[in-house]
This record gives sequence, C-alpha cells and structure tokens, in this order.
Amino acid sequence: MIIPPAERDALTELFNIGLHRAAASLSELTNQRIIVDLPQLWVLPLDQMRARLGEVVDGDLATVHQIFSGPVGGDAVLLLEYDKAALLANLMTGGEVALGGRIDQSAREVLAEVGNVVLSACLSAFGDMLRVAVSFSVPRMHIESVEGLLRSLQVGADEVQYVMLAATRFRLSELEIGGYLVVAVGVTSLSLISQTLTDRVS
Amino acid sequence: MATILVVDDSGYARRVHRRILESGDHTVHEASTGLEALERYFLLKPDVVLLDLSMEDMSGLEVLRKLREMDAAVRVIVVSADIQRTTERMVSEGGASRFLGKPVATEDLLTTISVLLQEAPR
Repeated sequence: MIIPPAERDALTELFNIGLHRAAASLSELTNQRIIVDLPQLWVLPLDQMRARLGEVVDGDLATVHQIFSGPVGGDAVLLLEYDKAALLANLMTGGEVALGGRIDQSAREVLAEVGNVVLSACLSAFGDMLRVAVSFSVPRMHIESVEGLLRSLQVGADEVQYVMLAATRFRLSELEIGGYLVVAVGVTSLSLISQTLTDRVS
Repeated sequence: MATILVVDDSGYARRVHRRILESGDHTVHEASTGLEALERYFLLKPDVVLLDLSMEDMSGLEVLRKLREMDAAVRVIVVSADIQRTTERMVSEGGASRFLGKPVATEDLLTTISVLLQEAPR
C-alpha cells in the first residue's frame, strides 16, 4: 500500500501527538521527565509486520493491548522489551515488584496500568485529532513473542487488515526504554483516518 | 490583523495552523526548520511566532532562545505535542508568551493570539 507523502506526514503527526500525550501521562505516573524520539511510521499489511517488527525487537515482549471502537476501531498495543518492562515496574513501585528482573503477577498489574494510561492518552489524542469518540476496552497484559503478538491482534475479521506501526524510543530520566506503539486497524478505519486528516486541511 | 510565522517540521501541522489562522484573517508565513525560522523572523518581523518544539536541526527551545537574543520583545506561542509539565515550565522559563498543546482548537489559538496582541510588548 503506497501512502502519498502528504498523507504519511499527516499520519506521522497524528502519532507524534499521540505519543507525546502518552509520554506526558507516563511522566505523571513516574514523576520523571520523558524524552521521546521522533517516531518512525510504517503502514503495512498485517502479514508484513513480522519482518519489520523483527528489525526493532526480539525475544519476549511485555505487551498491553487495548481494543478501541467507535467510528474508528482496532487494537492498540504498547510493546516493551521484557527486561526494560521489569525495570519500569520495579522503578514505579520503589523496588517492590519484578524482583530479579522477573515480571510476576504484581508487576503485570503495574504494567497493565501503565499500558492503560499510556494507550488511553494516545487514543484520546487520536479521537481529538479525528474528532470522533473512541471507546476503550479493559487493557490486557501479555508476555509474548512477536509471533504471539501478531496472532493476538484483534482487527475486524472481515476486513483487509493493515497495521500502523509507530516506533520510537523513549527515555525516562533514570531509565532508557525501548517502547513501541502498534495500532492495527481494518482498511475501513484506515481510510476514514486518512480522509479525516485530509479534510482538516482542505 | 497580524502577521504570523508558523514554525513546524510537519507540513501537515503547518497546513492545519495556516487554515486556522487564515480563518481569523491573519497573514501566514511558514518555516520548516529552526534555521529557516530565524532567517524568516529576521526578514519578516512577524507579530507572533507559532513554534513547535521537535525539529530535526535544532530544538524549539534553542530557536526560542535565539529569537529572544534577536528581539527581546518577540511574541512566541509554543504549540507542541509534548505537554509534560516539565516542558511547559522550560518553555515558560525560556521566555515564550504562551504554551498550547497539540492538537490545538481553532478558538483557543485565535483567542490566544487576540489576547497576546492586545498585551503591551515585553
């Protein structure tokens, strides 16, 4: 799928706003300043995402899924490298969970809340930009591989499935974390997003 | 109405802001990099600068500092996706007149500019 440059620019700006709003929420949660790199954006058929994602992450991932619905619907996922996710949970609880770098049940609860706050902030920015109401599901936290992630993405089954993958690294003042945001949508939602962004400037 | 310089590396953001500003009968000029912003400010002396913080060549805070060196009375509205409190504080300490989070609402931007233009220069 070829995205015209102006449309790519608009989608990147959409993600940029979403990621920064998510970072602001994470900053409130952690009491740390968050530095976000400029995001890279790809729009890919679902089956091509494995190769692309494999270039930036490997091994077990800590993921938080948040299904969203409304005029635009899909599955938003926060991806964290396993060891960094454990460090984050440990940092946020003053060293009470994820002892020895293991993501235990308590750490899962912490990370699910992180995902909830971050993804809700990001999806709220999408709603504001697209001027639509977006509803969110309860977040689900998983430890999974890239293959597991691809299997668990929930997009309307009757649609051609595309994935918008925004990759960025974000750094807390005390910890560098590789964080990635994946938004999987059906082709209907993708068309609506592109059209709405175009309408804002025409 | 005012002459406004919109500084943002995103062409999309520049177009959105241009559309809003022109609906308020303002004259709009654009810059996509920090360096271009400084050049255009020097040549155009706009009434207000809308400044993004994330740009490839230099940060918006750096641009803000250089603009203030060039003209201590410059009116800068920082419009950024980075809405962390620490960022807002740095922007304020850097001498910006206002801070608005993206996406900015039409009314908020036009009202902010209108109020700013009525204030005495620094």
